[in-house]
Amino acid sequence: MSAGGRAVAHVDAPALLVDAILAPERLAALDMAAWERLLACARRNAVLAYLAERAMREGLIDSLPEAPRAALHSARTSAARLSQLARWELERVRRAFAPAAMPLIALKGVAYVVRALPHATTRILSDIDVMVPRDRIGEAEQALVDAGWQGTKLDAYDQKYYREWSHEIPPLHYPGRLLSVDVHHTICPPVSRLRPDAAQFWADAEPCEIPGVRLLSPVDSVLHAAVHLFFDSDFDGRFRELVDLHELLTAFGGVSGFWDALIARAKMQGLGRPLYYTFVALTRVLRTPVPAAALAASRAFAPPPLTDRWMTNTLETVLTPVDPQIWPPANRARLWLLFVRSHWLRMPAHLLVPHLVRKSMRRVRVDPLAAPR
Amino acid sequence: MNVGELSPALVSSRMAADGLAVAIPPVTVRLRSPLRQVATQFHSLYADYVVADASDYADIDVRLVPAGGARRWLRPQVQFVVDGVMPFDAFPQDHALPLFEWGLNWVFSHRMHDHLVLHAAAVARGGRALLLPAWPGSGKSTLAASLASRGWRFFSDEFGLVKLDGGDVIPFVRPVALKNQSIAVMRAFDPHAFIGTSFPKTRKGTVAHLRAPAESVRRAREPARVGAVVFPDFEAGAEASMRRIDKATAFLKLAGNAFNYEVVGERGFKAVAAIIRGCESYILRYGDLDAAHAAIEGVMGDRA
Amino acid sequence: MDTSHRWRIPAGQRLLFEDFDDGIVAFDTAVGATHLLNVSAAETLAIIEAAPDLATDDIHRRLLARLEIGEDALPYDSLQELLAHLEDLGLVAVRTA
Repeated sequence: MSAGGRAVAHVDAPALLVDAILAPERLAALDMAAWERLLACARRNAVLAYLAERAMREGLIDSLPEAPRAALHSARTSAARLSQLARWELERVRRAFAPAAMPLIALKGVAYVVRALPHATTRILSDIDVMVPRDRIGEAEQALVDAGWQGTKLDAYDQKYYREWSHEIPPLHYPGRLLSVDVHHTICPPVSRLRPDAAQFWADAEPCEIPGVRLLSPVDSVLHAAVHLFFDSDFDGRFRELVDLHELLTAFGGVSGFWDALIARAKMQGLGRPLYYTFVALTRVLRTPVPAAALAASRAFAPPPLTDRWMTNTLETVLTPVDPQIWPPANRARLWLLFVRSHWLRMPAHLLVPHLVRKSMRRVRVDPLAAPR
Repeated sequence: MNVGELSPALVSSRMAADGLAVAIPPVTVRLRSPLRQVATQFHSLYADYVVADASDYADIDVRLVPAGGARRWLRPQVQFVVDGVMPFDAFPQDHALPLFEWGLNWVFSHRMHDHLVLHAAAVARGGRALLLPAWPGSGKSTLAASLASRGWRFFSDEFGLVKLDGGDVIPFVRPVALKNQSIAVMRAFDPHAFIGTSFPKTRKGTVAHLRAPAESVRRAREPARVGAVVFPDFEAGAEASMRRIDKATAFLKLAGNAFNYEVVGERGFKAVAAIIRGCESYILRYGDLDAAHAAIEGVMGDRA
Repeated sequence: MDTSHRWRIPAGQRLLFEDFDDGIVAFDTAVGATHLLNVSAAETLAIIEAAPDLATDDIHRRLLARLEIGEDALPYDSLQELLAHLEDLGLVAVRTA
């Protein structure tokens, strides 16, 4: 059509993406140029498989143009495989823990799979998370090592970070399998200012169809996801975590008494601030229908007005999906860092910066010459 | 219009601006780069490919950008960017084209789960495809390139793409990355074939790219049925021998060879079963390309 | 002899089989795993599927009969090992009666 290559029309891909998530029927109206931007944006923000799932749930996917349809199906296929692997990995952990009757709570992604939440099979997992009692975490680690898992090779700094400052032992990996296992004893790192009582999580944990495995209660699942969204100093993946929260609240929010219980629990566990910001972020970025009463109640957890204004604006900026069209990309990581550090991390600045530099340097780079798996 | 019908200068200016979009069936790729040599080398290797409109839908959008940082004056580097992400470490800027080729392979293989993606070369004749699965020491790329220069339709030296519905094999025609001695071997085997720039000291040694035959590019949207599966095993000096493999063994070898067999699950199982049931599988031991060709004729020969 | 272990196919399992001269390839759709089964393993699965909740020695008797072999060709221990292996792979499930 064009001999000279006319300027590529700028499409607001992040807005398209949010719209597509909230109103998938609008996908039918997209032209191919918009499709490309939407798919690229969804991919960049790790929600392409999720978008596919939304389109499928609405019964739309088969009426979409061929190339987007194939891209959506392909993304959904590979994410679904990861959730199948997560189930298997959890089963192997259960077997390793069974002789010692180790109490076990499945967390986050693998828990969503066990709960069969609609979005559970759309997440790009690299590991499964499980929680064991704090006083038995050494025993849990040993049980897994005895059963064949291997610790990640970490230098002394990283070992110390994991064991002292974080709430995890270093990830364990079973040779030949794809997903690692992260063993936790609480949901907030000790270095944070958040100190929920882990015993409460155990008290309210629910059974599931897998004997010996429990799940956090719906309220605790939401609080865990909220802490995870705002705690993690790694900027990448924030939008994806926000979508998780959107889905969790959609799944659990219809149950009578849920919202009151959520507010009460947040207050009791000192997790009100993350919950408040979760509501702010969800209502601003994803227009999640949080009941007015819950919103009002959550304002009791807000920071002072000036801080609140800055934080609210920052959140909206950092949690809107990244637009991959923009090159070089805007540096949101620094803003996120400021947000995270000022709120959650007790680590003094001189420790924090080296830690984060090391963490970002460890960002996984793939070898294009290795066989993809 | 083909890439070769544009001047290298025009290719370069498009790549430096909104990008050059090219149909590389089954995908359309848009490439942006300010690097002049990328444009020149691409122009040579992809001369026979059809240009697409840069503002239309592209399946894969790639930027090859000079890497920043303090080193950029001493040892210039290049980064491969796809969907705003740099999945790989930087390469020396001189190696931008091999980075593009390898990077495109990687991206492509992650987006094709509506196919069983075999790590295999593929050629075809008379509507029947010959799959040459890779394993260390197979020499599949050189073997496939040599078959292509002797009239076989070239599908790929890296990807055996099997549709999950129906079982057709489809081409993904690209330049063949020849490494080290294979470069000389191919020059000797087919002096008329176009081999592009040599890139020394890459992680795979010296690499050069053989341009795909124009006819194969032209027919890159035509599928084929699987006619035979041959696992090549190159051993210098060996006499050519073609040995049939039993089917359960062949099944596991082929499934193990696929990049995404486990990802596609049940459909992958059924696709492999259909291939194994539909044709014979062999191990081809060879030390010499012509002898390999003769052995292949023996199993693919008569039926057109 | 073991009458305490009872074997069955796990709930929700669906296996696909391709039967070749040199072996049977099976795909476990729930787990997404592919297995190469020899005749003993394939027959054992078929026996368990046909009659769930059999004890180990029942399976042993039926297996010897189906394969038309004697105890020395497939000792009881070997079957126990096979069943443990199948259980570990998630192909069969066990309960202790």
